[in-house]
Amino acid sequence: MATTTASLAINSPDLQPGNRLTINASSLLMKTGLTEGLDIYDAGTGELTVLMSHKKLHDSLGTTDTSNWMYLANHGTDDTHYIEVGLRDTIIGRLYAGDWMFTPWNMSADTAEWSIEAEGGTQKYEYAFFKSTYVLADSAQGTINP
Amino acid sequence: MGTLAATLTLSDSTTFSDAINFSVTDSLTTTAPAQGLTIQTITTADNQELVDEGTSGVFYFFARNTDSTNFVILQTEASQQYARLSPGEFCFFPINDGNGLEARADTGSCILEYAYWKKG
Repeated sequence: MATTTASLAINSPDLQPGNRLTINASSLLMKTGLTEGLDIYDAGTGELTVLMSHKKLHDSLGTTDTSNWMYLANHGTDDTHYIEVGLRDTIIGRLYAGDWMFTPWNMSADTAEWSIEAEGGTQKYEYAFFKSTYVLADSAQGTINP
Repeated sequence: MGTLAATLTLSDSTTFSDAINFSVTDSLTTTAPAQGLTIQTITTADNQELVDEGTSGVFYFFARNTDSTNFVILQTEASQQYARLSPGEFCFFPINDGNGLEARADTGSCILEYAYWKKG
């Protein structure tokens, strides 16, 4: 059983004068319900160019209502460029240079794929998925050992 | 208006041959409006607005489900569901300009802790 811990710290010394902001949160990643452990981990890095247009970061798993997590970071350095992040046909948000996001991913439909697109210029990205289930796709080779 | 330092750490030393252990920090410049840390009861009714789609700008959004049993669904104001926050779990992500954000409890009411800040 996987025991993946996610911790978040948000701090600000100047958001509100005299009231320093300090948020800390930590949790174990869980399967649907309260079962701990997402056993499937998929991570990597890449580079997006504007010409590449809309690219699929991760296909939907085709399994409804499972608990999964997505981490994505924009390692670009130009503040004016950003990566547009979409889920299905909805743009979730923009990741500017240095920004990251960490969010649960519920596939209520088999079209719930993540997509990314570079805006303004070429940008490097880093991603990680923590998944409940994953079914290997059929091989185009057919039966290996008939 | 202010700066935020947001740090995420992911670690797992028991599951894989190569332990997962990485951390990423972002320094965010924010401006008004912002919503400070807020406790809100989320019921099973639809369309409980957390971020108004009519407020322009990109927002950095944090939420934590404080419930010990039930999960919360996060969705755009167009009711496009994209995440379920299980008991005790948190998330942090940018909300696109004009999307807004809504929450809905699935089975029973949950207390959601959340905050957001507009990108400066």
